[in-house]
Amino acid sequence: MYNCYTPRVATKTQVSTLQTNSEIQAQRKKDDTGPSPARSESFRMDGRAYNQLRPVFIDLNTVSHASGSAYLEMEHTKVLVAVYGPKARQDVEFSDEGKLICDFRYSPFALRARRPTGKEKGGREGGREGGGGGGGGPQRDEERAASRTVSQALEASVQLAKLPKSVVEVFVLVLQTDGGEVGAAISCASLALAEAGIELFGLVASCEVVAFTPSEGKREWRVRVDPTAAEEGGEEGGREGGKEGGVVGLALMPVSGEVTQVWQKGRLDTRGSERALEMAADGARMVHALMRKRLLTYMEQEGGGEGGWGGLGEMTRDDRAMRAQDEKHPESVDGDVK
Amino acid sequence: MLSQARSRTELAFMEAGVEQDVRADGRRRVDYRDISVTVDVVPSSHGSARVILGHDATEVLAVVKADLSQPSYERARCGTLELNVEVSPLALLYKETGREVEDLNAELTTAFESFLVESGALDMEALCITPGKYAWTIYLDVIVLEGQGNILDAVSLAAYAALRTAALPGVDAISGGLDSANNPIEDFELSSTDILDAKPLPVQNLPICITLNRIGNFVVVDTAAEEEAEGGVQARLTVAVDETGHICGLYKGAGGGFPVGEMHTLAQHAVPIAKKVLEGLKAAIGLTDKKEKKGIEKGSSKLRCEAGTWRRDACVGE
Repeated sequence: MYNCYTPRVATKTQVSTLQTNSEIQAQRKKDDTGPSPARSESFRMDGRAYNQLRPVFIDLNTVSHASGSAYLEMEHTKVLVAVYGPKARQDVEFSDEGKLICDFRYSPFALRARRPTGKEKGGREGGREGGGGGGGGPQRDEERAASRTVSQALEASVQLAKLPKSVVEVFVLVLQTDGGEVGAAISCASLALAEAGIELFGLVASCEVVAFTPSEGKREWRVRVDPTAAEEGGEEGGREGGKEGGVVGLALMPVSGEVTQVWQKGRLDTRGSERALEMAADGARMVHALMRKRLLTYMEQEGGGEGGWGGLGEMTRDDRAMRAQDEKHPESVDGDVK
Repeated sequence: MLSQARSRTELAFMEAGVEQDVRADGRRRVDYRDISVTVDVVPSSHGSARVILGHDATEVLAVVKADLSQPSYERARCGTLELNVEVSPLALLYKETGREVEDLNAELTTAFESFLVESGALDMEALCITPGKYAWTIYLDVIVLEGQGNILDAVSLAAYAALRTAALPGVDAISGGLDSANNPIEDFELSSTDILDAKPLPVQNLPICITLNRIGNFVVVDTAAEEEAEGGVQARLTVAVDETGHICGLYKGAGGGFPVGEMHTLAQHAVPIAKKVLEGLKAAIGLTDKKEKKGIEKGSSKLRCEAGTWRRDACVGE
């Protein structure tokens, strides 16, 4: 395991939605109420295009003691996930299906202002004991809510029917946050589950977008994929001082075409909501493509062929087919999994 | 008390019923249970409301209290809103573990807080009296007294009624002049001690939540407790809609998924439902009439949504 403070440099993503959604763009140009994506939407503080993700870096098996683990970086948002299980459930006598539990924590240094751990003051009564993660003190409300968000996003992807009387524990630790940490946690946890060899229906990828209207009265909605914390906050440069707007995040399992998690903060009207959901789904497909590619590369390096990854079941067969397709067309790695 | 486990036969029965637009209690998929709302139930507070869904099925109490505080340095011109949603032990939900109930409280609080705060419904700057010195802190406490289905919607209705009918005493800031220690005076005084002169909270476009539950391939609103049992609802989408029809928030619960192509139509499906519920709610708490005064018994009204029309049976007192 390398040192988290000196991670390898992430390469910029070259995937563009314009290729995969050319029909939608063409229709947009005909529809005059929609803004043309080629126009001045591209002004962002870090120079990205409106539909460009931040550089993504993925590493697997970071916590070697765990059943599975993954580390995901989206420029300055860094998330580490470890999966333990499946192991025997202690709380019930018998259950038909397995259970997925998530423990989401921010490390005390994750945000700009250091957060006190539960130990300084009295802390909350009845805090949680056990479980790994950073602070080790009682979980805050938002950490509990984020735990639910992540576990609900992943439940649909795990073949729980194959894990009776078992529990799979997912521990998420946010090392640094610059916007989009819950989405990053979902994607990273999905990779960790895959690396653990737990049988899945598919990978879940997540992406956030920020949507805003640059000025009051004009119904032109601008959407930016994968916002940083500054862009989300929308004060000066982020939303160009627009009044109306919000952040929409989405977790998608492309294998079944299902949205397993969605959240929105802020006000959007019909048009803005539609565009935001669409762009978030496109962004999630982009992230999914990157995740799949990285997982396959890792399999080749570490798994050593068929023997090492028997636990993945159907996924291995599908991915061999997808890999053959990718080798034919190396440039167009897009997220459309049929 | 209901048992939590549902047999497969019962679940199949429920799903088949939903397909045919007949639910276990005879409602259609888009029908809400009877909604009863009473305001001013806690006279010692600045605003309160009690909402009951169905026949004593889900009962929620929301109370608004305001206090003066010093605003923080970064937000010197703003008041604050402190929101807390919790399920009272009285509710005896089938979730027995303390940890699960705490998780549920946290989930409800953060979900609802993001709808309220991020939608900009409460004008924080209007709550400031003297920048940097005095500002209102609004405490909104919502307690779930009975939780037999559709808790989040009931929470939002109660909070809406409480915030819209809450009233703060008018306060004038006094400045200028020096006191005995030669410091500039920054103080405030009540504009009037008459209760009837209290000003309403600066809220506009307050959202309410409509929860859409996926059962099989159909979507129902206002699930009763037996529908919410384990395995009943595959996925749940809560849409916060404000009075102008804008979507102020999305929140998803339960472990399943929605088809990606349908996400937008699904969210938009909640908007006309929210409009109808809001109309009835506003009529019931007397907001469509002239400005109401605090202290006068507003009574309660039973709202019923059927086949696209609202029927209001008003009864004063309880």
